[in-house]
Amino acid sequence: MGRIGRRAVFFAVIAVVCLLMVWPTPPDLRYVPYALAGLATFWAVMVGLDDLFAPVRPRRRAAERLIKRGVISAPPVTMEAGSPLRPPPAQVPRAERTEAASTKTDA
Amino acid sequence: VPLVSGTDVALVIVVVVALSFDFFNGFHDAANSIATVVSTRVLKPVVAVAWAAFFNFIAFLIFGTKVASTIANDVVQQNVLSISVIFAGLIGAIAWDIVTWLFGLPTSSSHALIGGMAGAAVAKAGWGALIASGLQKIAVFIVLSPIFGLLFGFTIMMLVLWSFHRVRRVDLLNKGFRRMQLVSAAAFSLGHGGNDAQKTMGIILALLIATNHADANTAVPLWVVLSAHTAIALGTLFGGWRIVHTMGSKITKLQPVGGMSAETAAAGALFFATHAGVPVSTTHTITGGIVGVGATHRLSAVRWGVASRVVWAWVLTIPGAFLIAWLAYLPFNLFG
Repeated sequence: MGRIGRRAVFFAVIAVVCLLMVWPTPPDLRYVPYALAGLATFWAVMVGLDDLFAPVRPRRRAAERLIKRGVISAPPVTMEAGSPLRPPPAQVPRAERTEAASTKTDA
Repeated sequence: VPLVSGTDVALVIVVVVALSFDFFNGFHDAANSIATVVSTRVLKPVVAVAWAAFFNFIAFLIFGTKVASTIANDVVQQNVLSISVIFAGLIGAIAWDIVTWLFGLPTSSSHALIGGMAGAAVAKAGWGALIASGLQKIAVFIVLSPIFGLLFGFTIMMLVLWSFHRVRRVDLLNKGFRRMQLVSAAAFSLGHGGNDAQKTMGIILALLIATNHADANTAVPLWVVLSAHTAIALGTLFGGWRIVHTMGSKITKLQPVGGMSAETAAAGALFFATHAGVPVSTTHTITGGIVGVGATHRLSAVRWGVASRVVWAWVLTIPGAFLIAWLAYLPFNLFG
């Protein structure tokens, strides 16, 4: 389950504003703020339900988000050969692989 | 006995000023009615302006004159209205319109007019000159009209999205919506002509009543109706391009479908208000519609910075025009 987003709250606030406008509205036109409040409530509920039941995407870790935005750079993966924690080749960053390749050629 | 009295000359001058205000209203506000059509490139600016001007003009064939009656009878006490009060009120409204036009701010000419009338009347006879119930009705709809536009803009856009989300040929769909936008722009211009031109009619009617050329319960004379619609249509023809830019592209980016939804919502709000005899701002309704359409994507699609600048302009319109008109009336107080 997701959580209710800002749009639902926005429509709920509009509904409240409409209800607050009922009192100063002349009696012959009071159906207008009531109708608008009803419509705003409808959308607040619909958008809220949509937020709640929308498939939830796994939340990225804060550090991953910052790396994606380019605020910080990813730490280089440096592991010694033969280590059991050595990542499979596909996960080795491209820059590192190129470096390794060039070292081999030099040798 | 002179053929034309001094009062008649003054009356003619103020009628001309009122029609100039109407022209400025078209110049300032009517640009909003074509903003979405121009920003979505459905029509070229010149064609869009002509299209809007035509529908502004023919609005008199459809709507009654309830809004004109509200302006003439429900804002300022009849016994306070005079040529000088209306003249100072118009000066306040026109000056405010020019200032906001220079800054490219989409304020409401209608509320500038009401603020101006109120300012001049207060300068003449104090706060008792104002009719609280009439002003209350107008003030309530300052808040409700953009909400009306917003909620209906959102609703129409959602209905369209639900109805057409399976359509694969987006190009064909866009073409269809571009055509429909012509209809929605026409409807909006019709609503604009119906509501805004009536405000000038109301001013001229108030003038005629103040100078005993008309009775308080009289219908608006046809020459007043035709001249008001002609003035607003001409104003539209000369257009205010600065505001087109603010409305059409700065608040949120619009596609033809969004433009159509925003305009239809705003037209609905204007038709309703005109039918109920409430003077509302076309600018407020279309801004609400555009924000509503933007909100279907996500709230961050709306540039709230620009939208809040627009809201500030609204908040300041009535006090600003009130103050200018109050100052404009001072010489009449000093020299009797």
